[in-house]
Amino acid sequence: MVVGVAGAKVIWDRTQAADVLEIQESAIAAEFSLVNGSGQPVTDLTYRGSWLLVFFGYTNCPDVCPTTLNDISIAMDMLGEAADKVQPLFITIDPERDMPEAMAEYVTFFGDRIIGLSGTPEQIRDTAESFRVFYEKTAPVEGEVEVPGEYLMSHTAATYVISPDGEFVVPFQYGTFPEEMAKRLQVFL
Amino acid sequence: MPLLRRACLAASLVSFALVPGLARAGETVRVGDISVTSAWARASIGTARPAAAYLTIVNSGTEADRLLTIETPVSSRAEVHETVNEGDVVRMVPAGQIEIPGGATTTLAPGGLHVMLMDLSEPLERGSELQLTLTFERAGTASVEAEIAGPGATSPPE
Repeated sequence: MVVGVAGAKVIWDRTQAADVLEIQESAIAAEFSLVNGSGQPVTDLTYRGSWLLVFFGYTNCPDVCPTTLNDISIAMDMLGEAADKVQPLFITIDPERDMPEAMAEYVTFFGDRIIGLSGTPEQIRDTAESFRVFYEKTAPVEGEVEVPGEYLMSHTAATYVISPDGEFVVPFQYGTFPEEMAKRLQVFL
Repeated sequence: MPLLRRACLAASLVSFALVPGLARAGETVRVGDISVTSAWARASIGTARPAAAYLTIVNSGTEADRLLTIETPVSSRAEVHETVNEGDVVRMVPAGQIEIPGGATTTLAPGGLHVMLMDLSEPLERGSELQLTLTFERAGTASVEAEIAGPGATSPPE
């Protein structure tokens, strides 16, 4: 709980956003309680025994999320048989729009290995805290007309590698090439 | 081939060549000092989500130009946005009417500047083409056909 509160303070203090992203291994608990595409509750315990690749984003993201999910999908292909030991998770930071069914449909565009998770705003907030993930709606630019339900978001775009014991191991920076991800994962598998 | 049909074919070929600023997918379109090339887009995921398109603009003149508007038949709102990455926090912000510096190449590519297409009237299908009409402040208007790649593509289709 203390870690959670400290993490929350750091995450929500935007002026220190740059410092937040020096990820300290001990600070990422990688715990979550969410809902999968079929509407079933899942937690981090559900995936014990698998290596996890966890990426946070949203389905209305035009540039960053499709490419990163594609990179993850390609990295998985590169692992060959070893890919069976890895479970990629795509967790939304836009619970208002990204319902579980929407997440389930979205991930199918990036192969059949990625599981999409959603949840209530509180569940998403708690999960983001546990992973030290920053996210917020982008404020409209001056002069821009704000359309309800139509917003972009800012978010941490790293991919987190979690061990079968549920421990955070290493982050892949946004933009890491699939070859690099596969190469680094192979060391663990 | 009968004479009349041959004449018609010749006439249509000539008239196509005379249409300014229109090219087939993958080709370069020139207007004024501006060349637009390598236009491509990602397949959309449904029509409710914004899609992205990319292209390369070469300004071979000495003076800067400005990309004023982008129009396309399948979207009522196409704007240039930029992905900004600050220590792994990414944000996508409107880039406005971007300046196209003289004597330089301005590239719209994943992870950076991109055309965001909102309010799609139909989905963007992989393998199809998307017409983008760009209006530059000085050079004028150019239309390109963007090739549509897969939904997670990071580069144009082969």
